[in-house]
Amino acid sequence: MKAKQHLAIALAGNANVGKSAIFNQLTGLNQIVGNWPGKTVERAEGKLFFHGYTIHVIDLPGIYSLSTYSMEEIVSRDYIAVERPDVIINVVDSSALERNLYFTLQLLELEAPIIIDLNQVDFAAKKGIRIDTGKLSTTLGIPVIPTVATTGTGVEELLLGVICVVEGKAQLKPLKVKYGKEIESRLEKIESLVQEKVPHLCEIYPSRWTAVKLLERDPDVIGKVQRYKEGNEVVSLAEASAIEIEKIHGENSPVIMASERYRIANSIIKDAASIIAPPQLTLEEKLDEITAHKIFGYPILVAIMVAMFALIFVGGDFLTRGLEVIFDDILIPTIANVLLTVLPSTIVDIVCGGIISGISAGVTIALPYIVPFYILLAILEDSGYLPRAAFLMDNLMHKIGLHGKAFIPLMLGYGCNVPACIGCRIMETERERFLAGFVTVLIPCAAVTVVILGLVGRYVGLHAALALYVFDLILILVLGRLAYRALPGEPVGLIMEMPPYKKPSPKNLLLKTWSRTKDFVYIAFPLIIAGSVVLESLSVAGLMQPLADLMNPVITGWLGLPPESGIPLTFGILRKELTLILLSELVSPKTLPQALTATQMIVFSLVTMIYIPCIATVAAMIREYGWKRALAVTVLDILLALLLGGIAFRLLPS
Amino acid sequence: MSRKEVYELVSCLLEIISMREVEGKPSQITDIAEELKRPVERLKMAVEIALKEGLIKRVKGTLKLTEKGRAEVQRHRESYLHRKYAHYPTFLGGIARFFEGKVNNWREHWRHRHGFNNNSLNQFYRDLQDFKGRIEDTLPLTDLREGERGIVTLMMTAHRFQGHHHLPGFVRRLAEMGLTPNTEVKVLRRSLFHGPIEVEVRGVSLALGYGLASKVLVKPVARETNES
Repeated sequence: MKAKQHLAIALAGNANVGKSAIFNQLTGLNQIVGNWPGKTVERAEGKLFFHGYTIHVIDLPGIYSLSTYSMEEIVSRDYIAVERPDVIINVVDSSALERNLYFTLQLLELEAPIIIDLNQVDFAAKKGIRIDTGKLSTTLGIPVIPTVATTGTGVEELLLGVICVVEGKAQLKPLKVKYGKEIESRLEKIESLVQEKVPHLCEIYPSRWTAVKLLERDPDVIGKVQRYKEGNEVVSLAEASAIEIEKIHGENSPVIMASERYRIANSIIKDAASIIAPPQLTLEEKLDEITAHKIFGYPILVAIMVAMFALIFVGGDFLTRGLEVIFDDILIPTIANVLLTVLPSTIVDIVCGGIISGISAGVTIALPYIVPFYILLAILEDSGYLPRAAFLMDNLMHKIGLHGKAFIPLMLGYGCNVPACIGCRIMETERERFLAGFVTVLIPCAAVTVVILGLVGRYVGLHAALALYVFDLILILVLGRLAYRALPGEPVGLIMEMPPYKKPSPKNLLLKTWSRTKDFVYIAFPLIIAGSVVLESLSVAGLMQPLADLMNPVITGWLGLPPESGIPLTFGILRKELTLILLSELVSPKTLPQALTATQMIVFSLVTMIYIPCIATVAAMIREYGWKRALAVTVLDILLALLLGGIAFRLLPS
Repeated sequence: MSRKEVYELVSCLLEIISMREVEGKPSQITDIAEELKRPVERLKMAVEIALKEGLIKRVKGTLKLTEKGRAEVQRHRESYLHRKYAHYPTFLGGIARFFEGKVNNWREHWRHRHGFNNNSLNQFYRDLQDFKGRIEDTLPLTDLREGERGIVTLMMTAHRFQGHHHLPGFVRRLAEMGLTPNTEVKVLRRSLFHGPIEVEVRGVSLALGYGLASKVLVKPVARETNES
């Protein structure tokens, strides 16, 4: 009987090669998405059973190189070198083989057991690229398995390939990456010195790889070597060699090494791949031509955004109403009645008003907007539109010191600030991430839009609501620019791959939406519930009125709002649309236009828009940037809202 | 020949000799004339002047640059880059250049007026020294039109050029994305006002910010339609 065995495999490869599609095909719903310990880099892992093996799959982040350009790259290479998965599946985009092989060569240098998943062969065939799988496999000395991730073709063979490698049935003769003579001779010297001086490091990383990285002046590896007593000797030899080869080639040593790897990759594809038909303008390319056009691209971008948010609002509104009936009219009274039989009424108030209405708030308000939003986002993402949007917006984003990619989280912010905040991870450096996060939380999310449209839009006029949005954009521009000046460090320019348009696969869309929604629930719900319990307890204990009195000087004196608005603004921390709901309850029997002047409505909406990122967003910020920065942003936003609200009250005609 | 023409011819001559030296080829007047597509007689005049000025010397029948000649090539290259690309090609850029006046000490000038630091300046001079080809033949990637191709000749590692700041790591990143020296790139799309450009390199399309792209110097490849 064959014993049940556990295998660990990792998926590695460039971005946009269909890596997560392969991951979804392998694991289905059996996946957990989290963070790498101590890093804000997404870690997706899943499990499957195959031929008596329990296979744990880790989806490494999509990267182009194993250098130290980004956190994703460091995480990936440390995982491969230190954790040593049994097999690494290198997912390769057949339609961009040369660039993908560049990464494969780096994996080979890490001396990891690899098999190649030649993905999107259908797409390559469409582009007229024919790849000789057998030849590629013999040249590289590792198994090469063609797949089409979107349909699942070849995934079974891929797993069989993995098993073959594990059981030693596949003959592996991985290609040795050979550089030019002048580099090889120096590498040999460095390598033998590495083996001699830092033997402990060689147990983790292959000595040749260390030598290569030293020659490339990889700061991370240099630091690792220098931690050993005799490491400095190795580093100075490597530095001297780097200077020598720079003299010969007249380029930077990392550039020389990159050129060399590309030379090797190029010679491999010359053998194994051929273009059989001249590429014709496909439908996708025509679409690309229009949607990223320097003039027509912009109206299309606006149209797509408007359509997307209109759809979310209409759909979300419809779902919210339905769910509200279920929760508020049926579920909560029933639970309250049941609880009243065993518990005193104050506790029932806290439980029902706090915990259950917290959950109900999350389910009835957040989810109906979040789920459609995530579905539409996944469509934009998988089809390849987002990079086009980033391309179009690069110029404008540069005004606030960010590049085009930052447009993506900003756009997400109009739906909900939580995914937007997490979406800032696409930025390359810590500085850019924080800067993007900082401006993102100022974007009025769907809940704020409900308040602005429901109050200002309805009673003052659409032009005033629009003015608020425009004002917010100007504010973002100004604050972004200030933060860009204030934050230390250098901004980064845009370097982004533009993947071709593709038809998204429904299975991937649903899985993506599902895992993101789950993530949202994990971040947002605990704090929404805790927050409702605290506020409900305060009101049950009769502390709400004193609190409102305490805030009165600011609310009425400085902002010029009616005294009732203190409490709604406090509850708005939980969910911003609560401000409007509570306000209309508190001023009753008067209607809103009777209770508030136009100026007061505008000031109220303005404060709601800026004053604090809601509690779920704060939670997301804490996770992404640490509590110190999250607190700083929160305090700053509150002060800013009060300042601007006060100024608006004094400037606007009453 | 006017003085300007002579000056231009001499600087071309020096550039060609320097290029051939980097490539390890000997330089004879006939080779140079062929490369420059100019008559040998005119070139002889330029050689005479250059010899008299001590910019080149004759070693075993071939022409070699002297120290002075090498310095002259360097100066020629940096002043060309400065004139053409270190300022925005706009009216305001022209005014800024006018007020800078004549530059005597280039090192100081780059440092004070263009935000170079010592490291980036050294790299910049090294790049210039190893530059293969005539500097007049190069353009920043941003100057190519849609559909045009170019071969990457020089990446300005310099810290600041045309007012944009960038992490020095960008050259490495570009190389990793396939934009290595001597690679052919094709401009697929440009955008309005100094927006990003989209290029095709090694069968992949990449979007590059304007600031980055303006630091990648390419030698334009003649379009097939023009040649025939």
